[in-house]
Amino acid sequence: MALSSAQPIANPADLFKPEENRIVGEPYYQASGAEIEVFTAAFGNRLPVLLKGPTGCGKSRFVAHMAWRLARPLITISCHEDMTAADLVGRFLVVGGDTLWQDGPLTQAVRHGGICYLDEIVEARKDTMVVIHPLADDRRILPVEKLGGMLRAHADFCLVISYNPGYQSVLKELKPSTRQRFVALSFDYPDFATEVDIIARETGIAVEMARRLVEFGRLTRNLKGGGLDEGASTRLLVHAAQLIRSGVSANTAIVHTVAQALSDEPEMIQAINALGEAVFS
Amino acid sequence: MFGHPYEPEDFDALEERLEHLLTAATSSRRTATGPAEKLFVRSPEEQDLVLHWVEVSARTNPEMAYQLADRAASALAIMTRSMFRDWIVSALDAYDRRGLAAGVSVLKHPEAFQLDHPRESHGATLVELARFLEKFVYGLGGRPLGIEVGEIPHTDTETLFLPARIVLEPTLEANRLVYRRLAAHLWGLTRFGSFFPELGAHLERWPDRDRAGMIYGVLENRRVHALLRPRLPGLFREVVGIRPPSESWNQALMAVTEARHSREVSLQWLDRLYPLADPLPELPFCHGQFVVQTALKVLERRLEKEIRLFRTLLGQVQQHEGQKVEWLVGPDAGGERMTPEDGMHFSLRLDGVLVEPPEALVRLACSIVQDLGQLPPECSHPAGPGPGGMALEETSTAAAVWSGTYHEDGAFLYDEWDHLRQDYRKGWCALRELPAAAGDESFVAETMEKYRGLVQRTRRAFELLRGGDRRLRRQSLGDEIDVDALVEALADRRRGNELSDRLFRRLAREDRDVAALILVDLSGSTKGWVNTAIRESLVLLCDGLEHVGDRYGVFGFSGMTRKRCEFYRIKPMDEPWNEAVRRRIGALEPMEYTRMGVFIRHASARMKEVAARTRLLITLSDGRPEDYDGYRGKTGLEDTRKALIEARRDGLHPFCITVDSEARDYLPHLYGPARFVVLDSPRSLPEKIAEVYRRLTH
Repeated sequence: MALSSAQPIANPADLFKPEENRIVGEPYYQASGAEIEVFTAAFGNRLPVLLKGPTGCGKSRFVAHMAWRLARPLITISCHEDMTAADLVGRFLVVGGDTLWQDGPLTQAVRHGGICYLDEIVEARKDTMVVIHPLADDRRILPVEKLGGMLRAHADFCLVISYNPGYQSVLKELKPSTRQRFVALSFDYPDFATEVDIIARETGIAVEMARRLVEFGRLTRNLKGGGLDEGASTRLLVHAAQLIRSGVSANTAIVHTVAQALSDEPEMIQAINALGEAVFS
Repeated sequence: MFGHPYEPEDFDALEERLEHLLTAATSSRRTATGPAEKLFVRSPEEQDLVLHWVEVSARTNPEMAYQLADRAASALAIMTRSMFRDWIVSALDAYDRRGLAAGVSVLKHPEAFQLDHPRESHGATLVELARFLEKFVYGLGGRPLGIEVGEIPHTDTETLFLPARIVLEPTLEANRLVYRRLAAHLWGLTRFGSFFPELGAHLERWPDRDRAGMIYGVLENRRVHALLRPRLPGLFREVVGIRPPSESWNQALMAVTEARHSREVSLQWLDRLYPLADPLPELPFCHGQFVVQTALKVLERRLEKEIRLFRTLLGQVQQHEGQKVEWLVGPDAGGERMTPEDGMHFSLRLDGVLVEPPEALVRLACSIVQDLGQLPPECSHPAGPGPGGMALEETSTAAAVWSGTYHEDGAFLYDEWDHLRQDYRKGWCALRELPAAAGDESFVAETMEKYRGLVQRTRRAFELLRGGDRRLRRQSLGDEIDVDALVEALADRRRGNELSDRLFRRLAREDRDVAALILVDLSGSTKGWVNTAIRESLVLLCDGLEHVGDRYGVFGFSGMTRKRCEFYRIKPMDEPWNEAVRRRIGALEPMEYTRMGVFIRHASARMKEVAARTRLLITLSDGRPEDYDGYRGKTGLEDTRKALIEARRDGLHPFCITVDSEARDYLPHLYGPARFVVLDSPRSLPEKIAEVYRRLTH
């Protein structure tokens, strides 16, 4: 039996249902600058977008929000060090006595016009750049080597990548040739009032409690460089708020969502807890 | 003769043992008989306990041991065992920090210690809380502050001086809270600008400067308290009230509480209160004391240094000379005087273009603004390396300014484990990094020639270690189909057998992400053949590592006493294998002692900065840890062991290569089984070392 390569998609309906990836209901996102405007314009001009910022400051939420706003399916891929181009583009499967091509997530998005979000792109293997580069400039094509052809991107396809410039090693910097293809949006922890608003809206806890949580979060961010790699992210504070809303005391919630998440060092955990106890009366 | 059931020969034995332990502190006029008589009334078990601690103390100082032996019996009469231990440890701690007189004074007054330490241990001690408090105040923000023991609680704007022990409250938890309150309050004084350069001049205007300082201090304490209360309600739940001695004071206290952000109000009220000569209100304990003179001295010294450093760093940021530098401070970025309430925010404009200032600059700016309330105009004038700025060598320690080595000028301070006390001696060893001397390059060339055959073999073996892409076959998931597996599977199916799902090939990268730090023993005992063998093996190992491509650094160590631990840079991690490195290896020679623990700690700190999946710490040594001041035997071994445990906790893999034939006795205890190798003779070191490394990282 010969391998039947370059076979067209056997049954696209089985393999990809873009509508299933559509975001239903508005994901809450509080803009702190012109990011919504810029993203919308980039999308309209078919430009890819680069999001940078520390962990847990709302990058992924922003993408979900934009997918909802633009009514496009969202495909999120968390990149890791073993991820290869084939994981993105697709591969042959053996089904019965036959081989069958299966689109990878990137190909699916390219074909059907979705937003493809590659989270923490620097973690992926270098060969992924080979497929990303032609997609990220005005060619907008995806080389599908195994099928021996190229795929032209759907008009609504949008590539979004993110990375955290903070703690990764210099080995994992994005190359200028990659960076310069993207419209870049920089994210940081929101300002005080916005962060309070986010936590209160997201979890429904009282504004006063949200305010205390943000004050506490900012104290832990002071510890960056003093034994911590990163302070408490907005996400961690949201987790703490959720526990508090469920009836856990503020100090207990902090121990389990923030202190233990940020450090393994006993003195540091103790210090973070003490900062929490100082802030919460 | 003393009315107890023991035999006189027991007394002789006790006296003899004490005599032996106290040899260095006794004389014809002062013998061990006195202490022995006092001790003899205690039970044999207690005698053993005391003898143990006398032995421990004797290693620190003979006089301390004598004083302990002399007072131990009366201490035991009023103390529980755990308190007895605390008493001795606190005396030894006092000795470490403040010298013999302080240590002896604790030993001489067991009753005072006991009073401070009433029912069991509900008193909180600074020893157990210092590290925690340091992080706590760092989290509160602003300039990092050190924590030290001080008779009266106060701050000099760089260090918080706190009592060694607090026993004000009935529970341990409550006493710990007092520490936190004190620390937060003193932090507030530094953070909200109570100390500033012109304060001295303000106080000079009054005949009694100290009194003026005290009045200002009370007012500032209240102002800071008013600022802290809403921020840290968990610490200052209830208002700590103070009783105003007069109506004027009442008004003053209300005014400063209102004023919050402005110390000017305190200064204005000082002018009105001083002439009244009212008695001063008494401040609550948790406010600490306001000590002006030392704080201003420290502040002045720091400010001068920081502005200089700031301008030098700014010079490095500036892209070309004459570029216009503007600082924007605070959220409004208006450049106006900022209140400490605003989280300090700095942005930098170069020729009108907004740039992100480097972290070190921002930290310096924060510290300067804390003292001055704003950045002085000269901070917009970068200084090149020259008279205005600091030498480049000095600026390279900019990072060290923030890591607590500020005062020790270039020395790193490390704790040392004292196994007898079962506790760390804080900041015990002072380590300095020095460049290794350069010698003749010919040594390396000669070694390569001498071991020609071995070099070739080693290189080949190391090349095999190099990472590369490898195709994994018969995978259940993969990039492409494994045709062989597929054919087999189809054949299986025809035969009616089960079909394997492992039909794919996958490209897997073997990332060899290894970094190694090689720590070379340069102690005096390596004299002669051992030293040559060490140098030769370094040459071969470096050559091999160049072929495998691992990142590596080579450092030597030696020293004498805890005050002079020297760490030699032979090949820093980022320096290539060049002529300078080869010359340094050629020039390595035996020096002094082997205080292993501190060097392992420093090497670990160095390695923690290196990003690699596997981080090795390889020690090349010829014997057990040993130093001049009592660092031998179990003391040295236990400290080294502790340092290795710390290294492992930091994610390093320590390994030891030694030529000490007795090493099999103690190395398993230090490194654990299979984490060391003992070579029979130094001569085999060059032959074996590459092989050892290869096995270690294969």
